[in-house]
Amino acid sequence: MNSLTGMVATTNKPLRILVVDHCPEDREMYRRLLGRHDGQQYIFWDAPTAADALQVCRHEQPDCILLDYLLPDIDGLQFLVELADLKGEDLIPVVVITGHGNEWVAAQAIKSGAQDYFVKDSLTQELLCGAVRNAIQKVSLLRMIEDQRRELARANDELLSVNRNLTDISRLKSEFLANASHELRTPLNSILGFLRLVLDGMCDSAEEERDFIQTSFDSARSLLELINNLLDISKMEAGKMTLDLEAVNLEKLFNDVYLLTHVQAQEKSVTLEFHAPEDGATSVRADYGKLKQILLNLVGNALKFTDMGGITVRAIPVVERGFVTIDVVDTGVGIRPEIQGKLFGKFVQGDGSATRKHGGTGLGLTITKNLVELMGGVIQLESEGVGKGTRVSFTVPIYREDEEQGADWRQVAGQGTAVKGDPSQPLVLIAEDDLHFRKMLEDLAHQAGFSTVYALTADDAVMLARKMKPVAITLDHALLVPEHPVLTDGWDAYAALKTDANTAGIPVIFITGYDAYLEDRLQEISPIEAPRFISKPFTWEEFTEALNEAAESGSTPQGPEKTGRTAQSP
Amino acid sequence: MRQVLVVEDDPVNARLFQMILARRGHYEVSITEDPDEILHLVRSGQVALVVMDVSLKNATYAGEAIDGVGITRLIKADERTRNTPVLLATARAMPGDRESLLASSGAEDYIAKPVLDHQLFLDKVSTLIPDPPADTPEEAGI
Repeated sequence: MNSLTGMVATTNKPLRILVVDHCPEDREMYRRLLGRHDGQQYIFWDAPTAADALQVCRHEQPDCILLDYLLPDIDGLQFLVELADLKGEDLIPVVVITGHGNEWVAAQAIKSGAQDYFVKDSLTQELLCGAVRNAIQKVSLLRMIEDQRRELARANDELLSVNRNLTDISRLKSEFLANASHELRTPLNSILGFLRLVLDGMCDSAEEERDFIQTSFDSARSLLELINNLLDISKMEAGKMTLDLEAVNLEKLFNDVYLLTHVQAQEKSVTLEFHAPEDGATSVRADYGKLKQILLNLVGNALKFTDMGGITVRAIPVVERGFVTIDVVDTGVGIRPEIQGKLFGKFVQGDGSATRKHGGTGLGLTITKNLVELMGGVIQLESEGVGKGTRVSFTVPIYREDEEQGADWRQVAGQGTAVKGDPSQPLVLIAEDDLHFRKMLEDLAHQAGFSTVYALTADDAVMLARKMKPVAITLDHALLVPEHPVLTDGWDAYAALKTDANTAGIPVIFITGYDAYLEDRLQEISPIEAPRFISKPFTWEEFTEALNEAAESGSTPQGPEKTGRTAQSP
Repeated sequence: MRQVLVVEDDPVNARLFQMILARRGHYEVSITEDPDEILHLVRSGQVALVVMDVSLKNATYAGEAIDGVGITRLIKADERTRNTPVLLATARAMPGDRESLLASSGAEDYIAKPVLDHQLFLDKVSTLIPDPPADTPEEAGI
């Protein structure tokens, strides 16, 4: 970018001059004068007309143009206009040559983009060489200013985007506070109101008094549930939810949940069945208490909304992909399709009499989703509609003996993620949903001196990249597709990363085995720069080298000491 | 006899307001959260005052979700019903909520949940109702 500065400073590189003058003798004179100066070498193009000169400029980038104002086809001013049209921001230094007494023309030319001028009659070697050098330096400075202006504009865009994010976060926090305040005041109104009536002797009978107290007590209990839920949510959002991961035996877990829920099922005369995996040996890697909370929540919901038929909980191992799917299926009231996608949001409840009858905080599913993701799973909810029952499915990773050997787990700010390896090492984000392959990539990255964090979906990959600012990202082109994804594969994730100022600077390595498919997708994402690639199968060295290269090439947008690098002179 | 209409989506809170109004104020109370029924009752002239909750999770009017503010606006937009006083009783009680809810709904008054002072609530109700309730006034407001 700043090569011209270099050219002027070092005399070993020839300067390429385009001489635009219809008179061959004059052209020869310029060559002669320049050619003898200071040992600087020159290469010349001859252009007797403006058309010839523009033809050269179409394919070449001369270091300087010597332009006679009087040309046979168009005049010098017109030439400058057409040159600007042709080259756009690719400025070429221009020195204008005028006849005696035509200084006003020179002034016009400089306004139109020429850098310097001289009068033909009073030409000396010093004057000519000085004008060329001067023009080249001017353009070089203009380019540096332009680079810096662009750098500033980019930094400004980044600040605007950070500012927008902060405004969003602040708005969401206020909304949460207002919602929480509303939800807390509602049961408090019943508690305080009925107790006030009792204290003031407003009851008709002893039974009614007891009833008022019982109502207050029930409201107080739902208030406690609400407070616990709010605490869970804020803990999760602050990234302070800690996990105690262990091998959880699904049969034991199902037994515990059954003991806590079967009485309610009996009271409602609905069936309640639990099916652990057939072989009985499958353990999942989870926090026992939190996995139980997930199941109690989902079974509790199912019981609330089912008056006939029953509830079935079934675990299905998907060994080749490294997880177990747990389905909670009921034959209850079902959910309208329009609101199915919203139910995982905060303070959102289904409608209808069942919700009214059973209350609830509207936070249960939000917490459940967060817990599932915190443990590395995904959750989805489906119902064919009102009266058609509901199925909620979520995944939990299968426990693997070797994974737990000396693994360094550290919970980090964020959902569903833990940094593995030595946390003091630079962080690499691995977006890969195949457990075995991911494990291999993690091991390789740890050996190469990186710590890792992983994402199973494209959405998570982008979210984690924004949040954790890794030095590099490896992306599988096919990723797990969760319910209502915003992004469906690695390519979407790549486009999202490269178009967000917060993450555009993080180098991405694509890992792919489908080279034929590559061309099409590259077309689709153009004009975004193409990512780096590693094709499967690859060696340890290839992967390590790619990681190191990527990590070194990255620009960290938050590091102010690195900005403006492109604008510095060699 | 003219009655107080309680609009409330939480059944426990609906019952509480009914009890406060009946036991302390000797008002006749009806309860609903169905917008069409609310408008029908208010138009019939039987309703002396509406105690209106703002957040109504299940209410829809003409196919769209509607809240207590929206229903109050409908009441205030109709010649026949605009003189029926509306008292907003809501758990939306962040700073500024009172002013903005009164302004956007056109309701006469506002009280925040939880209602700690039952007498204050009853005073607001009786101030808004032009005629005193039929029952003996000395028993009201104990």
